[in-house]
Amino acid sequence: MTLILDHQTPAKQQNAKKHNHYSFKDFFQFEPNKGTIVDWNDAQNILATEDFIIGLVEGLEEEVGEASAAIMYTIGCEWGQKDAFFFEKWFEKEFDRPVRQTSLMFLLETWWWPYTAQGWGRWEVDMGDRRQGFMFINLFDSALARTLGDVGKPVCHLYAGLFSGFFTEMVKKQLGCIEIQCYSMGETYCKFLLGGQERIDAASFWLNEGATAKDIEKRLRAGEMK
Amino acid sequence: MKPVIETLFHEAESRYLKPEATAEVSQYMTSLKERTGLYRTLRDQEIAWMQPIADELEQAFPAEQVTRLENSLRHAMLSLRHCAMAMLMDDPTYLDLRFLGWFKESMEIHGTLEIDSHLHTAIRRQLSTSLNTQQFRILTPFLDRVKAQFEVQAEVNDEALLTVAGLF
Amino acid sequence: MLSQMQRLSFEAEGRYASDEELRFIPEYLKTYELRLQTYQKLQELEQTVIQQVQEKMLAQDPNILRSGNVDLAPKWKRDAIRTWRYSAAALLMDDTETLRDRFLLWFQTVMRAFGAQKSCNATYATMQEVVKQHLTPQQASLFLPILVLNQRLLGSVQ
Repeated sequence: MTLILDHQTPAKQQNAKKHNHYSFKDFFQFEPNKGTIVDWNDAQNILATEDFIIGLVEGLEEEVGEASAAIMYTIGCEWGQKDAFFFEKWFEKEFDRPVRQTSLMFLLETWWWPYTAQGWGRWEVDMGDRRQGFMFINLFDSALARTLGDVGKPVCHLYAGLFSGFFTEMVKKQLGCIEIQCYSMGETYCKFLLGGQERIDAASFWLNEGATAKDIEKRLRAGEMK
Repeated sequence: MKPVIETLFHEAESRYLKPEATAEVSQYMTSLKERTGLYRTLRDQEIAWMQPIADELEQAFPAEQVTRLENSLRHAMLSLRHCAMAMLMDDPTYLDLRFLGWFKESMEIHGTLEIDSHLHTAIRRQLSTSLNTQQFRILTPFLDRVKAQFEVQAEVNDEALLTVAGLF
Repeated sequence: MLSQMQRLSFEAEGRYASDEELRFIPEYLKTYELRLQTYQKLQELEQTVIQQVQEKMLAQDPNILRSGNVDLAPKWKRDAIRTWRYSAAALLMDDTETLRDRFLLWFQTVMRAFGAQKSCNATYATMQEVVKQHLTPQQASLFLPILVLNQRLLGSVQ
């Protein structure tokens, strides 16, 4: 059975090109009769509870132990990559403009808005170090971290993978991502480093040695690589 | 919420309220004091008005299990509460989306059409005598929407919907 | 009003709301006539105010609506009008929550993406001054807090 997903809330019917459509009632179309939740970009959504997140994470840990972080990361990468294609299509449809001819920051904010609407959290992109080949992403209200609480280790591997997959596809360069600060370690927000693999490896090494996010930022900006 | 108000923000950047829409909003605001009063009355009198209806229900359906009667009574109160809220907002779709869809299915599954219909009639009778004309007039469209569920149901005589509970 | 009613219909579902929960209704109704009057005045004033705000801003800083060689004035005007109209709707409904959810929070990220916080800050600060000259104190008391909110959300530099 093929399900045809077609978002048709009053807001969209009135003006399909309206860009500020991310409030809950505008973005999601609930069809109780069909059992679907379709978002503005005609994507299928499901509602998941915190129990689902906990079950997913803890279940995975039970199955594969330490490898669960890597698996979540890999899942995130695939997701990010697929989403880059999906995003390109809906962005160009909504803005009548190719992604590569759009202001980068505006493009990124637009990409992330559906995630905010879906409950993944709000973000802030810090491009200040982009000429040095890396950048930072701050994430507020991570769904994973907020659900799992303070567990003493970073947990947002899915997000790290997502950023890696998405940016790699958009920028057409292999980019890795690592979480260098996490709400689940008692911080107020999560911070990710995005860059070439050597920088990610360096950050990973420093993290294992007990470096803080600030230490890592300082070292990277000073040009250290290991 | 009343559609003309819901769409106020949708269209805000393109246009201000047209005169007809403004009139509609103002009319609603004028009626809102009365609606709030009616809402409070329905709330405050709920028990007083439902009690006699509950009392005579067993007599009306002597062969029915008490639990089924109790469920229908609860649903009848729910339907009135939803009508009250829909009336407050002057928004029939609230009633449809939040209650009637579920209610219709519940009646089908449990085979309680007769009981529910009887209760609705009894409530309507109670309200028509206890509310003043103006109040009853404001509430009627919403009561009618509930009533329509029974009429649709009565037409459907589908044995595919029959369950053990509704067999005899 | 709008978001309060929506929230009530959700929270009080299946039961009746208490008098306390209903209190926002008579409170709102007390101000409705004034709000409607102010809303209609804002509609009349739109062109005038935006024009005066632009002139005042340029007088203080001729480059504030330029980015290098690019004249941002037309875009600025479109955005200012859009924000003005949403603000008017928020004033009519006494609903800054819907204003935030449906517009400001999204627009904030766009302004941030284009580094426009400084000009937004100037815009809504100036708009407050200009509006005071056109509205009665009563009308202004309803509208100024909305402009302050706009300034805070759109103009905050991080």
